[in-house]
Amino acid sequence: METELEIERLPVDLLAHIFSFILSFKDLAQASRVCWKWRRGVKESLSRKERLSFAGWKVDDESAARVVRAAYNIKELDMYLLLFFFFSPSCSLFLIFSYEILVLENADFFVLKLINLKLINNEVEEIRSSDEVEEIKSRSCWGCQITDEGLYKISLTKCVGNLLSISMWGMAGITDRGVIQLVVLYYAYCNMALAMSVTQANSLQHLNIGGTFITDESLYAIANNCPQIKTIILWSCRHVTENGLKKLVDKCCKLKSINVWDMKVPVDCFLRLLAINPTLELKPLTQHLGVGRIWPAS
Amino acid sequence: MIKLVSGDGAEFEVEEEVAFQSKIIKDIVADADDVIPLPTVSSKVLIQVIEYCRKHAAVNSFPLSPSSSAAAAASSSSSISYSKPVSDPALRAWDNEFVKLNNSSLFDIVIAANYLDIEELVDLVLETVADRIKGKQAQEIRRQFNIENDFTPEEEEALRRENSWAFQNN
Repeated sequence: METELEIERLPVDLLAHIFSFILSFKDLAQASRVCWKWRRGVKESLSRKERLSFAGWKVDDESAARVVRAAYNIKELDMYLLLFFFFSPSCSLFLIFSYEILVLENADFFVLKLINLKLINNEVEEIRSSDEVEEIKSRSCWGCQITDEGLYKISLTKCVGNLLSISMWGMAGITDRGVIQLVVLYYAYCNMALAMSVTQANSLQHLNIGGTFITDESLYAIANNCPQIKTIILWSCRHVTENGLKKLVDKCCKLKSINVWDMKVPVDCFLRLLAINPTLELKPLTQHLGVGRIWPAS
Repeated sequence: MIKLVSGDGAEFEVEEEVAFQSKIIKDIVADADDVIPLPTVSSKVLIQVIEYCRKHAAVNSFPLSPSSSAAAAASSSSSISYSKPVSDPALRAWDNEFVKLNNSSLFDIVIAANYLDIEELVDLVLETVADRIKGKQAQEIRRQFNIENDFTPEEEEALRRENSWAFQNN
Protein backbone atom coordinates (compact mmCIF):
# COMPACT_ATOMS: atom_id res chain seq x y z
CA MET A 1 0.00 0.00 0.00
CA GLU A 2 1.15 3.48 -0.78
CA THR A 3 2.22 5.19 2.39
CA GLU A 4 3.16 8.65 1.23
CA LEU A 5 0.78 11.58 1.35
CA GLU A 6 -1.75 9.47 3.24
CA ILE A 7 -3.52 12.35 4.92
CA GLU A 8 -3.93 14.00 1.54
CA ARG A 9 -6.79 11.60 1.00
CA LEU A 10 -8.88 13.42 3.56
CA PRO A 11 -11.05 16.18 2.10
CA VAL A 12 -10.74 19.67 3.57
CA ASP A 13 -13.98 19.38 5.54
CA LEU A 14 -12.69 16.31 7.39
CA LEU A 15 -9.42 18.13 8.04
CA ALA A 16 -11.43 21.04 9.44
CA HIS A 17 -13.33 18.55 11.58
CA ILE A 18 -9.99 17.37 13.02
CA PHE A 19 -9.01 20.95 13.87
CA SER A 20 -12.33 21.52 15.61
CA PHE A 21 -11.05 19.15 18.32
CA ILE A 22 -8.01 21.38 18.80
CA LEU A 23 -8.66 24.25 21.16
CA SER A 24 -5.19 25.67 21.58
CA PHE A 25 -4.37 28.50 19.23
CA LYS A 26 -0.76 27.48 19.42
CA ASP A 27 -1.52 24.06 17.98
CA LEU A 28 -3.76 25.62 15.34
CA ALA A 29 -1.02 28.02 14.35
CA GLN A 30 1.39 25.10 13.93
CA ALA A 31 -1.15 23.13 11.95
CA SER A 32 -1.77 26.04 9.60
CA ARG A 33 1.94 26.08 8.78
CA VAL A 34 2.02 22.47 7.61
CA CYS A 35 0.81 22.97 4.04
CA TRP A 36 -1.72 24.93 2.02
CA LYS A 37 -4.47 22.36 2.44
CA TRP A 38 -4.07 22.31 6.21
CA ARG A 39 -4.09 26.07 6.20
CA ARG A 40 -7.47 25.99 4.46
CA GLY A 41 -8.64 23.36 6.93
CA VAL A 42 -7.72 25.49 9.94
CA LYS A 43 -9.47 28.48 8.42
CA GLU A 44 -12.55 26.43 7.74
CA SER A 45 -12.61 25.06 11.29
CA LEU A 46 -12.38 28.59 12.69
CA SER A 47 -15.38 29.63 10.67
CA ARG A 48 -17.40 26.94 12.43
CA LYS A 49 -16.47 27.96 15.95
CA GLU A 50 -19.10 29.79 17.92
CA ARG A 51 -17.08 30.74 20.91
CA LEU A 52 -13.64 32.19 20.91
CA SER A 53 -11.65 33.01 23.94
CA PHE A 54 -8.38 34.84 24.13
CA ALA A 55 -8.54 34.94 27.88
CA GLY A 56 -5.10 35.07 29.37
CA TRP A 57 -3.34 34.73 26.00
CA LYS A 58 -0.42 36.76 24.87
CA VAL A 59 -1.42 37.33 21.31
CA ASP A 60 -0.40 40.09 19.00
CA ASP A 61 -3.26 42.08 17.58
CA GLU A 62 -2.65 41.08 13.96
CA SER A 63 -3.05 37.42 14.82
CA ALA A 64 -6.06 38.06 16.99
CA ALA A 65 -7.76 40.15 14.34
CA ARG A 66 -7.04 37.51 11.72
CA VAL A 67 -8.39 34.71 13.87
CA VAL A 68 -11.49 36.69 14.69
CA ARG A 69 -12.06 37.64 11.05
CA ALA A 70 -11.95 33.99 10.07
CA ALA A 71 -14.33 33.02 12.84
CA TYR A 72 -17.37 34.72 11.42
CA ASN A 73 -19.88 32.49 13.14
CA ILE A 74 -18.69 33.58 16.48
CA LYS A 75 -21.26 34.50 19.06
CA GLU A 76 -19.19 35.01 22.11
CA LEU A 77 -15.87 36.76 22.22
CA ASP A 78 -14.02 36.84 25.48
CA MET A 79 -11.09 39.20 25.57
CA TYR A 80 -10.70 39.30 29.31
CA LEU A 81 -7.19 40.19 30.36
CA LEU A 82 -5.86 39.89 26.86
CA LEU A 83 -2.28 41.00 26.70
CA PHE A 84 -0.72 42.40 23.57
CA PHE A 85 2.90 42.74 22.86
CA PHE A 86 3.16 43.92 19.31
CA PHE A 87 1.52 46.87 17.80
CA SER A 88 0.44 47.21 14.23
CA PRO A 89 -1.97 49.87 13.16
CA SER A 90 -3.44 48.13 10.17
CA CYS A 91 -5.69 45.56 11.74
CA SER A 92 -9.39 45.90 12.09
CA LEU A 93 -12.15 43.97 13.72
CA PHE A 94 -14.89 45.51 11.71
CA LEU A 95 -15.64 42.46 9.63
CA ILE A 96 -17.19 40.56 12.46
CA PHE A 97 -20.90 40.17 12.26
CA SER A 98 -22.48 38.12 14.90
CA TYR A 99 -21.21 38.65 18.41
CA GLU A 100 -23.79 38.27 21.06
CA ILE A 101 -21.59 38.85 24.02
CA LEU A 102 -18.76 41.31 24.11
CA VAL A 103 -16.59 41.43 27.17
CA LEU A 104 -14.41 44.50 27.13
CA GLU A 105 -13.30 44.44 30.73
CA ASN A 106 -9.57 44.90 30.91
CA ALA A 107 -9.28 44.39 27.18
CA ASP A 108 -9.45 48.05 26.36
CA PHE A 109 -5.91 48.03 25.06
CA PHE A 110 -6.91 45.64 22.33
CA VAL A 111 -9.85 47.62 21.07
CA LEU A 112 -7.90 50.80 21.33
CA LYS A 113 -5.29 49.39 19.02
CA LEU A 114 -7.79 47.90 16.69
CA ILE A 115 -9.35 51.21 16.03
CA ASN A 116 -5.91 52.65 15.58
CA LEU A 117 -6.43 55.35 18.12
CA LYS A 118 -4.88 56.48 21.27
CA LEU A 119 -6.29 58.82 23.80
CA ILE A 120 -4.23 61.66 25.15
CA ASN A 121 -6.18 64.04 27.35
CA ASN A 122 -9.44 63.17 25.65
CA GLU A 123 -7.91 63.88 22.25
CA VAL A 124 -7.69 61.03 19.85
CA GLU A 125 -4.49 60.68 17.95
CA GLU A 126 -3.18 58.17 15.55
CA ILE A 127 -0.27 56.17 16.72
CA ARG A 128 2.58 56.61 14.33
CA SER A 129 5.87 55.91 15.97
CA SER A 130 7.14 52.93 17.88
CA ASP A 131 8.04 55.24 20.76
CA GLU A 132 4.37 55.76 21.41
CA VAL A 133 3.82 52.04 21.31
CA GLU A 134 6.39 51.58 24.02
CA GLU A 135 4.61 54.18 26.05
CA ILE A 136 1.29 52.38 25.77
CA LYS A 137 2.85 49.10 26.65
CA SER A 138 4.30 50.47 29.85
CA ARG A 139 1.04 52.09 30.79
CA SER A 140 -0.55 48.65 30.68
CA CYS A 141 -4.20 47.80 30.38
CA TRP A 142 -5.49 49.73 33.32
CA GLY A 143 -3.83 52.98 32.46
CA CYS A 144 -5.08 52.98 28.92
CA GLN A 145 -8.81 52.91 28.78
CA ILE A 146 -11.41 52.70 26.14
CA THR A 147 -12.97 56.08 25.87
CA ASP A 148 -16.06 57.48 24.29
CA GLU A 149 -14.27 57.56 20.96
CA GLY A 150 -13.44 53.89 21.20
CA LEU A 151 -16.97 53.09 22.18
CA TYR A 152 -18.22 55.15 19.25
CA LYS A 153 -16.08 53.13 16.85
CA ILE A 154 -17.44 49.94 18.33
CA SER A 155 -20.96 51.33 17.93
CA LEU A 156 -20.35 51.72 14.23
CA THR A 157 -19.38 48.11 13.66
CA LYS A 158 -21.92 45.75 12.22
CA CYS A 159 -21.57 43.38 15.10
CA VAL A 160 -23.04 45.82 17.57
CA GLY A 161 -26.59 45.14 16.44
CA ASN A 162 -26.20 41.52 17.40
CA LEU A 163 -25.00 42.12 20.89
CA LEU A 164 -27.19 40.85 23.69
CA SER A 165 -24.85 41.80 26.46
CA ILE A 166 -22.29 44.53 26.88
CA SER A 167 -20.01 44.92 29.82
CA MET A 168 -18.10 48.13 30.37
CA TRP A 169 -17.42 47.56 34.00
CA GLY A 170 -14.90 49.92 35.51
CA MET A 171 -14.05 51.71 32.29
CA ALA A 172 -13.50 55.10 33.82
CA GLY A 173 -12.85 56.78 30.48
CA ILE A 174 -16.45 56.41 29.43
CA THR A 175 -18.94 59.19 29.91
CA ASP A 176 -22.56 59.81 28.97
CA ARG A 177 -21.52 60.78 25.47
CA GLY A 178 -20.14 57.31 24.69
CA VAL A 179 -23.04 55.43 26.26
CA ILE A 180 -25.66 57.59 24.53
CA GLN A 181 -24.00 57.17 21.14
CA LEU A 182 -23.79 53.44 21.69
CA VAL A 183 -27.43 52.89 22.59
CA VAL A 184 -28.78 55.30 19.97
CA LEU A 185 -26.74 53.71 17.19
CA TYR A 186 -27.60 50.29 18.52
CA TYR A 187 -31.29 51.11 18.37
CA ALA A 188 -30.96 52.55 14.87
CA TYR A 189 -29.09 49.50 13.68
CA CYS A 190 -31.65 47.10 15.13
CA ASN A 191 -34.50 49.03 13.52
CA MET A 192 -32.72 49.07 10.20
CA ALA A 193 -32.09 45.34 10.34
CA LEU A 194 -35.70 44.78 11.28
CA ALA A 195 -36.96 47.01 8.46
CA MET A 196 -34.80 45.25 5.92
CA SER A 197 -35.64 41.85 7.39
CA VAL A 198 -32.01 40.96 6.96
CA THR A 199 -31.70 39.32 10.30
CA GLN A 200 -33.84 38.85 13.27
CA ALA A 201 -32.71 41.84 15.20
CA ASN A 202 -31.42 41.22 18.64
CA SER A 203 -31.96 43.61 21.41
CA LEU A 204 -29.67 44.50 24.21
CA GLN A 205 -30.65 42.59 27.33
CA HIS A 206 -27.76 42.92 29.74
CA LEU A 207 -25.74 46.02 30.36
CA ASN A 208 -22.95 46.44 32.86
CA ILE A 209 -21.84 50.04 33.27
CA GLY A 210 -20.78 49.72 36.91
CA GLY A 211 -17.90 51.83 38.07
CA THR A 212 -18.23 54.40 35.30
CA PHE A 213 -18.97 58.11 35.64
CA ILE A 214 -22.23 58.17 33.76
CA THR A 215 -25.15 60.34 34.87
CA ASP A 216 -28.91 60.34 34.40
CA GLU A 217 -28.44 61.32 30.77
CA SER A 218 -27.17 57.82 29.97
CA LEU A 219 -30.10 56.23 31.75
CA TYR A 220 -32.55 58.38 29.78
CA ALA A 221 -30.95 57.20 26.55
CA ILE A 222 -31.02 53.56 27.70
CA ALA A 223 -34.66 53.94 28.74
CA ASN A 224 -35.57 55.27 25.29
CA ASN A 225 -33.47 52.92 23.18
CA CYS A 226 -33.27 49.59 24.96
CA PRO A 227 -36.86 48.46 25.54
CA GLN A 228 -35.84 44.82 25.98
CA ILE A 229 -33.26 45.33 28.67
CA LYS A 230 -33.50 42.79 31.49
CA THR A 231 -30.57 43.43 33.78
CA ILE A 232 -28.46 46.48 34.32
CA ILE A 233 -25.53 46.91 36.66
CA LEU A 234 -25.04 50.43 37.96
CA TRP A 235 -22.69 49.40 40.72
CA SER A 236 -20.96 52.48 42.10
CA CYS A 237 -22.41 54.89 39.53
CA ARG A 238 -22.34 57.78 41.92
CA HIS A 239 -23.54 60.45 39.54
CA VAL A 240 -26.84 58.78 38.87
CA THR A 241 -29.87 60.16 40.71
CA GLU A 242 -33.39 59.02 41.36
CA ASN A 243 -34.65 60.74 38.18
CA GLY A 244 -32.54 58.51 35.95
CA LEU A 245 -33.52 55.33 37.77
CA LYS A 246 -37.21 56.25 37.71
CA LYS A 247 -37.19 56.90 33.99
CA LEU A 248 -35.40 53.58 33.40
CA VAL A 249 -37.88 51.57 35.48
CA ASP A 250 -40.81 53.47 33.95
CA LYS A 251 -39.83 52.81 30.35
CA CYS A 252 -38.25 49.38 30.46
CA CYS A 253 -41.03 47.07 31.58
CA LYS A 254 -38.94 43.94 31.02
CA LEU A 255 -36.34 45.06 33.50
CA LYS A 256 -35.80 42.34 36.10
CA SER A 257 -32.88 43.52 38.13
CA ILE A 258 -30.70 46.52 38.83
CA ASN A 259 -27.49 46.31 40.77
CA VAL A 260 -27.50 49.48 42.85
CA TRP A 261 -24.69 48.72 45.23
CA ASP A 262 -22.71 51.75 46.40
CA MET A 263 -24.90 54.29 44.60
CA LYS A 264 -25.56 57.65 46.15
CA VAL A 265 -29.34 57.57 46.27
CA PRO A 266 -31.54 57.42 49.36
CA VAL A 267 -33.22 54.17 50.31
CA ASP A 268 -36.74 55.56 49.91
CA CYS A 269 -35.89 56.14 46.25
CA PHE A 270 -35.60 52.36 45.88
CA LEU A 271 -38.99 51.97 47.52
CA ARG A 272 -40.47 54.29 44.92
CA LEU A 273 -38.86 52.24 42.16
CA LEU A 274 -40.47 49.12 43.57
CA ALA A 275 -43.79 50.94 43.58
CA ILE A 276 -43.48 51.30 39.82
CA ASN A 277 -42.35 47.72 39.25
CA PRO A 278 -42.96 45.45 42.28
CA THR A 279 -41.20 42.47 40.68
CA LEU A 280 -37.98 44.38 40.20
CA GLU A 281 -34.96 43.04 42.01
CA LEU A 282 -32.64 45.65 43.42
CA LYS A 283 -29.33 43.99 44.15
CA PRO A 284 -28.07 43.57 46.74
CA LEU A 285 -30.59 45.79 48.48
CA THR A 286 -33.79 43.76 48.18
CA GLN A 287 -32.59 40.79 50.17
CA HIS A 288 -30.42 42.86 52.45
CA LEU A 289 -33.07 45.21 53.73
CA GLY A 290 -36.00 42.95 53.13
CA VAL A 291 -37.44 45.83 51.14
CA GLY A 292 -39.31 43.66 48.70
CA ARG A 293 -41.26 41.97 51.44
CA ILE A 294 -41.94 44.94 53.68
CA TRP A 295 -43.00 47.49 51.18
CA PRO A 296 -46.26 46.27 49.67
CA ALA A 297 -47.73 45.71 53.13
CA SER A 298 -46.78 49.08 54.55
CA MET B 1 -30.43 -9.40 7.98
CA ILE B 2 -28.78 -7.00 5.60
CA LYS B 3 -26.10 -7.94 3.14
CA LEU B 4 -23.24 -5.47 2.64
CA VAL B 5 -20.95 -5.95 -0.35
CA SER B 6 -17.49 -4.41 -0.23
CA GLY B 7 -15.67 -2.90 -3.20
CA ASP B 8 -13.63 -6.08 -3.65
CA GLY B 9 -16.76 -8.24 -3.76
CA ALA B 10 -16.79 -9.70 -0.24
CA GLU B 11 -20.24 -10.13 1.29
CA PHE B 12 -21.09 -9.47 4.94
CA GLU B 13 -24.40 -10.31 6.56
CA VAL B 14 -25.20 -8.12 9.52
CA GLU B 15 -28.22 -7.51 11.71
CA GLU B 16 -30.32 -4.46 10.97
CA GLU B 17 -29.43 -2.68 14.20
CA VAL B 18 -25.73 -3.07 13.37
CA ALA B 19 -26.10 -1.77 9.83
CA PHE B 20 -28.36 1.05 10.97
CA GLN B 21 -25.50 2.62 12.90
CA SER B 22 -24.93 4.04 9.42
CA LYS B 23 -27.56 6.62 8.63
CA ILE B 24 -26.99 6.19 4.91
CA ILE B 25 -27.71 2.47 5.03
CA LYS B 26 -30.78 3.13 7.12
CA ASP B 27 -32.07 5.50 4.45
CA ILE B 28 -31.22 3.13 1.60
CA VAL B 29 -32.88 0.11 3.20
CA ALA B 30 -36.12 2.04 3.63
CA ASP B 31 -36.73 1.98 -0.10
CA ALA B 32 -34.49 -0.72 -1.57
CA ASP B 33 -33.71 -4.38 -1.18
CA ASP B 34 -31.44 -5.85 1.45
CA VAL B 35 -28.25 -6.17 -0.58
CA ILE B 36 -26.23 -3.00 -0.36
CA PRO B 37 -23.17 -2.57 -2.54
CA LEU B 38 -20.47 -0.35 -1.07
CA PRO B 39 -18.06 -0.05 -4.00
CA THR B 40 -15.70 2.46 -2.38
CA VAL B 41 -15.16 0.47 0.82
CA SER B 42 -12.63 -2.39 0.87
CA SER B 43 -13.40 -5.57 2.78
CA LYS B 44 -10.54 -4.93 5.21
CA VAL B 45 -12.03 -1.59 6.20
CA LEU B 46 -15.61 -2.85 6.13
CA ILE B 47 -14.69 -5.56 8.65
CA GLN B 48 -13.39 -2.91 11.03
CA VAL B 49 -16.41 -0.67 10.54
CA ILE B 50 -18.81 -3.58 11.12
CA GLU B 51 -16.87 -4.51 14.26
CA TYR B 52 -17.39 -0.98 15.54
CA CYS B 53 -21.09 -0.89 14.60
CA ARG B 54 -21.70 -4.29 16.17
CA LYS B 55 -20.19 -3.19 19.46
CA HIS B 56 -22.09 0.08 19.52
CA ALA B 57 -25.38 -1.47 18.44
CA ALA B 58 -25.06 -4.03 21.26
CA VAL B 59 -24.36 -1.40 23.90
CA ASN B 60 -27.14 0.84 22.63
CA SER B 61 -29.73 -1.91 22.70
CA PHE B 62 -28.80 -3.06 26.23
CA PRO B 63 -28.33 0.24 27.99
CA LEU B 64 -26.57 0.21 31.32
CA SER B 65 -27.78 3.56 32.55
CA PRO B 66 -30.86 5.71 31.99
CA SER B 67 -28.80 8.25 30.08
CA SER B 68 -27.54 5.74 27.53
CA SER B 69 -31.03 4.33 27.10
CA ALA B 70 -32.24 7.83 26.32
CA ALA B 71 -29.44 8.15 23.80
CA ALA B 72 -30.42 4.84 22.20
CA ALA B 73 -34.04 5.94 22.01
CA ALA B 74 -32.99 9.17 20.37
CA SER B 75 -30.74 7.40 17.89
CA SER B 76 -33.62 5.33 16.57
CA SER B 77 -35.51 8.41 15.49
CA SER B 78 -32.88 11.07 14.99
CA SER B 79 -29.16 11.60 14.83
CA ILE B 80 -28.76 13.80 17.86
CA SER B 81 -27.13 11.20 20.05
CA TYR B 82 -24.37 10.44 17.55
CA SER B 83 -22.39 13.61 17.93
CA LYS B 84 -22.33 13.42 21.70
CA PRO B 85 -19.33 11.89 23.39
CA VAL B 86 -19.73 8.28 24.41
CA SER B 87 -20.72 8.29 28.06
CA ASP B 88 -20.43 4.61 28.92
CA PRO B 89 -16.91 4.14 30.36
CA ALA B 90 -16.63 0.51 29.18
CA LEU B 91 -17.55 1.51 25.65
CA ARG B 92 -15.19 4.46 25.85
CA ALA B 93 -12.37 2.09 26.79
CA TRP B 94 -13.31 -0.21 23.93
CA ASP B 95 -13.26 2.77 21.53
CA ASN B 96 -9.80 3.75 22.77
CA GLU B 97 -8.54 0.27 21.97
CA PHE B 98 -10.28 0.30 18.61
CA VAL B 99 -8.39 3.39 17.41
CA LYS B 100 -4.95 2.06 18.33
CA LEU B 101 -4.12 1.85 14.65
CA ASN B 102 -1.64 3.49 12.35
CA ASN B 103 -2.59 6.73 10.63
CA SER B 104 -3.20 5.09 7.30
CA SER B 105 -5.77 2.65 8.73
CA LEU B 106 -7.46 5.47 10.61
CA PHE B 107 -7.83 7.48 7.39
CA ASP B 108 -9.32 4.45 5.63
CA ILE B 109 -11.84 4.03 8.41
CA VAL B 110 -12.79 7.69 8.64
CA ILE B 111 -13.33 7.99 4.90
CA ALA B 112 -15.60 4.95 5.00
CA ALA B 113 -17.39 6.19 8.13
CA ASN B 114 -17.89 9.58 6.54
CA TYR B 115 -19.28 7.93 3.41
CA LEU B 116 -21.60 5.74 5.48
CA ASP B 117 -22.53 8.66 7.73
CA ILE B 118 -21.60 7.11 11.08
CA GLU B 119 -21.01 10.33 12.98
CA GLU B 120 -19.82 8.77 16.22
CA LEU B 121 -17.11 6.86 14.41
CA VAL B 122 -16.03 9.92 12.39
CA ASP B 123 -15.73 11.91 15.62
CA LEU B 124 -13.86 9.13 17.35
CA VAL B 125 -11.26 8.74 14.61
CA LEU B 126 -10.77 12.44 13.93
CA GLU B 127 -10.40 13.22 17.61
CA THR B 128 -7.71 10.55 17.74
CA VAL B 129 -5.93 12.18 14.81
CA ALA B 130 -6.28 15.58 16.52
CA ASP B 131 -4.61 14.14 19.64
CA ARG B 132 -1.69 13.06 17.48
CA ILE B 133 -1.28 16.64 16.21
CA LYS B 134 -1.51 18.45 19.54
CA GLY B 135 1.66 19.91 20.98
CA LYS B 136 3.73 19.26 17.86
CA GLN B 137 5.69 21.59 15.64
CA ALA B 138 4.70 21.94 11.99
CA GLN B 139 7.83 20.08 10.89
CA GLU B 140 7.10 17.14 13.21
CA ILE B 141 3.54 16.98 11.93
CA ARG B 142 4.73 16.84 8.32
CA ARG B 143 7.10 14.00 9.14
CA GLN B 144 4.46 12.06 11.04
CA PHE B 145 1.84 12.29 8.30
CA ASN B 146 4.18 12.29 5.30
CA ILE B 147 3.02 15.69 4.17
CA GLU B 148 4.89 17.60 1.56
CA ASN B 149 5.65 21.19 2.46
CA ASP B 150 4.20 23.12 -0.47
CA PHE B 151 5.03 26.57 0.86
CA THR B 152 7.79 28.52 -0.82
CA PRO B 153 10.56 29.70 1.53
CA GLU B 154 9.17 33.23 1.26
CA GLU B 155 5.68 32.10 2.18
CA GLU B 156 7.05 30.12 5.06
CA GLU B 157 8.92 33.10 6.38
CA ALA B 158 5.75 35.21 6.13
CA LEU B 159 3.79 32.55 8.03
CA ARG B 160 6.44 32.36 10.69
CA ARG B 161 6.21 36.11 11.15
CA GLU B 162 2.44 36.32 11.25
CA ASN B 163 2.12 33.69 13.91
CA SER B 164 5.27 34.53 15.80
CA TRP B 165 3.34 34.76 19.06
CA ALA B 166 2.56 31.06 18.84
CA PHE B 167 6.17 30.05 18.56
CA GLN B 168 7.40 31.68 21.70
CA ASN B 169 7.12 30.36 25.19
CA ASN B 170 4.40 32.02 27.09
